[in-house]
Formats: sequence, C-alpha cells, structure tokens
Amino acid sequence: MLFIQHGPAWRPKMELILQKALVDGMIWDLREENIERINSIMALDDNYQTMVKMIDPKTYYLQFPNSNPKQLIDVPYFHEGDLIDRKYLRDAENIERLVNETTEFQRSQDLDIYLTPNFYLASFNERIIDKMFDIWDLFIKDTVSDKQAGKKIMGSFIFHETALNNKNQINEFLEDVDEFSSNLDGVYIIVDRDLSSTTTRHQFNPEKLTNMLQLIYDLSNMGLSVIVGYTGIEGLLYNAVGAMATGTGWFYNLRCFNQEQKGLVPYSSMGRQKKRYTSIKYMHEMSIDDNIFSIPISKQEEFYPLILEGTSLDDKIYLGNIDEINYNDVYVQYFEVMEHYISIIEQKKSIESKLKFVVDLLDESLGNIRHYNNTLQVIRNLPDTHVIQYKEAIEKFIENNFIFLD
Amino acid sequence: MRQYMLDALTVEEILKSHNLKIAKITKFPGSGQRQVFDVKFIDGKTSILKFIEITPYESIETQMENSHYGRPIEELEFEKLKEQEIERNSKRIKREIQASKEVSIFPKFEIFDDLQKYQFEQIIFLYYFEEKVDGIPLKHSDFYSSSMVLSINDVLDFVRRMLILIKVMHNSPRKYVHRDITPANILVDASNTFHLIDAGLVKSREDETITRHESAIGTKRYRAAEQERIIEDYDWDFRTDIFSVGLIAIELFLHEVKQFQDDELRDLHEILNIWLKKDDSYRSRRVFSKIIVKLSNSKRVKRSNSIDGLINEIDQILGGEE
Repeated sequence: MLFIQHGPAWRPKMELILQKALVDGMIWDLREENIERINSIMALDDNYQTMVKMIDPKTYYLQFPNSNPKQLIDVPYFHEGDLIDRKYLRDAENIERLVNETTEFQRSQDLDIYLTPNFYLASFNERIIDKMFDIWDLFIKDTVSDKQAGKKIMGSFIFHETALNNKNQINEFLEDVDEFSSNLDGVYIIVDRDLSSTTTRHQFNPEKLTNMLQLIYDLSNMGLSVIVGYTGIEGLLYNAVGAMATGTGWFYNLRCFNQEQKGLVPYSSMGRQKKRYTSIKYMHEMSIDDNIFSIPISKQEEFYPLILEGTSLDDKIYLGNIDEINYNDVYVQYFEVMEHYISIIEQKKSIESKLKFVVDLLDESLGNIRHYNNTLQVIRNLPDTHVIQYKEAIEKFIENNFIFLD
Repeated sequence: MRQYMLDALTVEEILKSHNLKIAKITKFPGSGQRQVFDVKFIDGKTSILKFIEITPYESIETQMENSHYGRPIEELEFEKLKEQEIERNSKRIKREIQASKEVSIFPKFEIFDDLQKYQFEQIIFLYYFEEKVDGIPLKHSDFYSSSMVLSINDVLDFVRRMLILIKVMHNSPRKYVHRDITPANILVDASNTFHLIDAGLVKSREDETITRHESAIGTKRYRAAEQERIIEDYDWDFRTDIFSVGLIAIELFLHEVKQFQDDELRDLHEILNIWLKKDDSYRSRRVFSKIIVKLSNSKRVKRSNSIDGLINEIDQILGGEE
C-alpha cells in the first residue's frame, strides 16, 4: 500500500492525490500542522474517511536538545522542556506519562493505527532500546481495549542509516522485537538517511540496503505489518520484500528522512527544487528540463514513449512548455506512478514473483539509462549508480534468503 | 557424570516390593541421568521402566571435603543443601511426567499413579513405568539408512508428520517444546508412524526459571543456536523443535551429510549446493527455499512462525500447486 507522508503545504496536494484515489492511508505530521486544522479539513472532505489514518508521534524530537519541533510544541504529550536523555528515562514515571499521554492523544483522534512513542536509535544496540521495549510493554497493556475495538497497535522507531551496517546487532534486536510480535499488529519505522556519502538523489549503499530489505522481510515474517516512513522510489523494493505500506510525500524531504533537513539538528537549506517526472522505466525522478525537454526533437518520438508512464502529466510533457507544468502536477504524477507499480507488486501473490517483477524493472531501467546516455547528448547524463546499487542489494537479499525467482 | 548403576536383580527386588509379577527384565544401554529397563510381566504385558538418579552428589562431596579440613557444614544446613540439590535433580523428570500426562503424543505414564522413590544409603532414584511404544529409532530404521533413496515427497511427508507432532505439543495448554528431537528420539513403528520419545528436556512456557547454570541443552548435532547458551526466562517455542526437524530432513534427503561436522550441516548455502546436485527441479528448489530454510535457519526469528503455514506450504507442494 502507499501512504501519504504528510508534510508542509499539504492541503491542495493531498486533495488532488485523494481525488485520484492514489493512496490508501496517511501518516500525519503534527510538527507541520496542528490537529485542529487537520480535523477541520478532514471534516469537509469525504475522501479522508476511507483512508487508513495514523499520526507519527515524533517524540524523538525530544531526544535532540537543539531540534526544531515546530508545531509539536502544541501537542499535549510533547513537553518541550523535557529532554529525553538517560536521566529522563531513569524515572519510570516519565516513561509511564509519555506512554499514557501519547496513547490518550491518539485515542482522542480519528485514527486507525496507534503508535508507541518513538525513539531515535543511532545503532541497534543502544541502551535506549531497553527503555524502548519497556515503552512497548506499557503501550501494549494500555491499548488492550483499543485493540479489541479494532484499532491496530504498532511499535515505532527511527534509526540512523549506519545502524544498518551491523547485521549481528540487527539480529539481536529482532530477537527482542520477536517477543512483541504476538501482541503488536505491526511496526512503523523510519531510516534517517545518511546523505553525506551520496552524490545523486536515489543512492543507497547496497550493503545497508540489503540489510534494510532483510529487516523488513524479517519483521514481516514475524507476522508484523511493516510500514516504512519517508520513502522514495526505493519503496518499491520495500513493498516487494514484505512491507505492508510505504509512506511518501511531495517534497524530497518527505521521500527521504534526513536529520538535518527534518530539523533534528540545526540546518539551513537553500536552493530551488526542480520539476521532475518520475519514470520507473528509468528508475528515476528525471529533471523535466534537463533530462526530458533537452531531448532533441528528432529523438523525442523514440524516447518519450520509453520514458512516459501514461500519467496525467504526459500531455503537458508532449507540449514541451515547462511553465505550463506546475509543481502540483509533478507531485501528483509521482504518486500516480508509485501507486501503479505498488499495485502491481501487491497483486502478485508470492515473494518470488514480486521480486522478479522488481528485478526486471531494474534491468529494464539499466538498459534504458544506458541507451539514453549513449544515444543522447543531453545537458546531464542520467546516473545509473543507484539502480546498480538496488540490483546488487536485491540480488544479495535473494541469495541470503534462498529465494528462487524462476 | 557420577552414576550408581542398577542391575536387573536389584530392579526385580524393587518391583517385588510393589507386588508386581515379573517375567523378564532387560536393561537398555544407559543414557545420562536415566537407566531404562524393558520389563515383561508374567501376564505378557511389557512396559518401560525408567530410573532417574537424583542423588545429591555435589552436596555430599562438599560435606566430605569440608569435613576433611575440619569444618563440616552444620547438619541442618547440610540437609537443606541436599534437599535443594535433589529438587534440582528431580526437576526434569517431573516436567517429563507432567508433559506425558498433558500431551497425547508422549508415551503414557502407567502402572504407578505417581513417581516412586528408591533410596539405598545416600543413593536416591525416582522411577516410573512408561507405556512401551513398539518401533525402532529412526536412526536405526530403513528410512534413515544410507541405502534408502528418498524422494522429495518422502522428505516432505516426514517433515509434515513431525510438524503435526510438534503442533500437538505447541497447542497443549502449556505449549510444550521438546528440545531434543533427534533420529534417536523418533520411533518408527510397523505402520511407519512416527512417535516422539524421551521428553527429558521438554519445557513448557510456564516452567520455573532455570536456577542453575546450564551451558547448553539438547543433543549437540541437532540443537538450535538458542540451545547453545541458555538464558534465564528464555521464551521457548516450537521454532526450536522445527530446527532439528529441518536438519534431520536434510540428512534423510542427502545421506552424505551424515558424515558432515555439526557446523557444516548448518551451513545452508553449502547444503543447497549439494541439494541441487541431487535434484535441481523447481519442486526441489521450492522445498529448500520454502521449507528447509524456514525450519533450520540458524536465527530463530528467521524460521517460520507458523506450523500451519509450513504444513499448508507442504500440502501445496505435494498437491502440485504453484
């Protein structure tokens, strides 16, 4: 399933996405919007009613003394003065209060999934993990009646990408999570992406990505529904290995969580975003100006059908005027494409067929990128590094898990 | 391990004290704490008699050593130590008896209503009769013999039947785990039905916390990683038992791996190479990927968490469903 990762400037984008029925749920972000406004807007639009709704509690902002919590400070469970550190966690009353207030708040809203307060993990053997599991215990006890009433209850945590380096630590962590697998319905997880070593938009170190896929697969095999927040096109891989849903949004920082961009640590950003066309046939969010409109007219007949995905934006691409394309068109096009491919993955019954589909997509996109770069003299070549990384990761995952695709 | 050896004559004397009319007593080769006898009664009935020694050797030796140095433990304290050790030594057998009463697949407790105690000076035994299950251990059966060529379907059938036995344990109110499924502890009877015996390491989820250090539990070759280093309050479940079943299934299909070292048998990548050399059909690969790996992954969390899921998968493969 595809969920909207709620974020700034949301209302028109969300309405368009919902009108087109491109998503199955939404993950509200109270850092970006207050709950009263969300509720008042939802009340005016029936499309929200059929969506799976959940709130990311974002209590991890309290672990960072210089974070920018924005509107979270107005949320009843978020006490700005509290810094979640060792001293805070040593006091059992703090933990109880955090669980009670977070749960009570979610209970007071129109939600389908309740999440545990979530902590930020720099690695999978941090001391805070014990406290996290204490919280899960309390949360499970606190939500027995909610579960009986049909609400889904899920554990939640966010971790730094480098935590994916250590397989042993992940496995030990999973042993602990396993103890909760019969009481929780699922987990909501976020990777804080390490963008310092990436040079292009979609890169993901293949070893870490393999371990990420394995984490999702293992959690899912425990019987947990896995929702991965803040994902981009790599979300296709997550869906193929067993994620129940991936959250994604219109802006880049809703498709890729990074602690600087998301205000966990101070950061100022500059720059203007490009208008992009998402082509899974190229496994790219292609810059419309640099990568599409720069294709010579003589080659457009050949390349446009190879790039375009049959979305509502295609007509405007054929018209060729960047000013005619607004950002909302671009965002909706992204959701159209992701929804299309995730639906295909979901329709496939076995993990073998899902993985085969994704591997074929990666092979096709590699061929397309090479053809594109070899044939066209465009402003900027299309990088294929990330596709090679995705392929390496998924092949390693397949080998590690003794999966046969044919 | 210290052990007082009982002979058939002594056993006969003990049984006479219960007014039991014995025709013949045959001793089985010993195994650990227990001494096992095949008892034939005058009326033709046969039963298995098990003696488990619970003598508090550690306490006795400590007392002897302390006395040697002129500072014996006080009598009351010594009695308390012995009682505690006897209690520890009896724990496993009490579990086994409890399990045999609660789980239909285990041999039934018979003749006596309760565990009996035999004491000779400081030597103490508990003993009981258990229903005799006719059959031979899998390890001595044709089924396991290297001359027998088993098909993928035969192996699946074995796994399926073992899963059903494990499911009975798992579905019992106290969710028993055998923890020692080996080719020696599976009996094959004349109708080719499998029986699980020797539930000496059986554990239920409600059992008390282990109070002494145990470095490993179960037969080394077939035990799962979580049995190597026992953690207090470990939450055992059926996934420990399916691990052993997977390894036995590999041995049944690939006789050559019986010569493998224990760690080689657990190397599923290497096993896969041999497996595919024997049979690289789609069905064979599917069995390895969907069954063997889900049974015998070294990490418990990566094994299947559903016995029914595995049985369904086997049924689909046996039924030819894609």
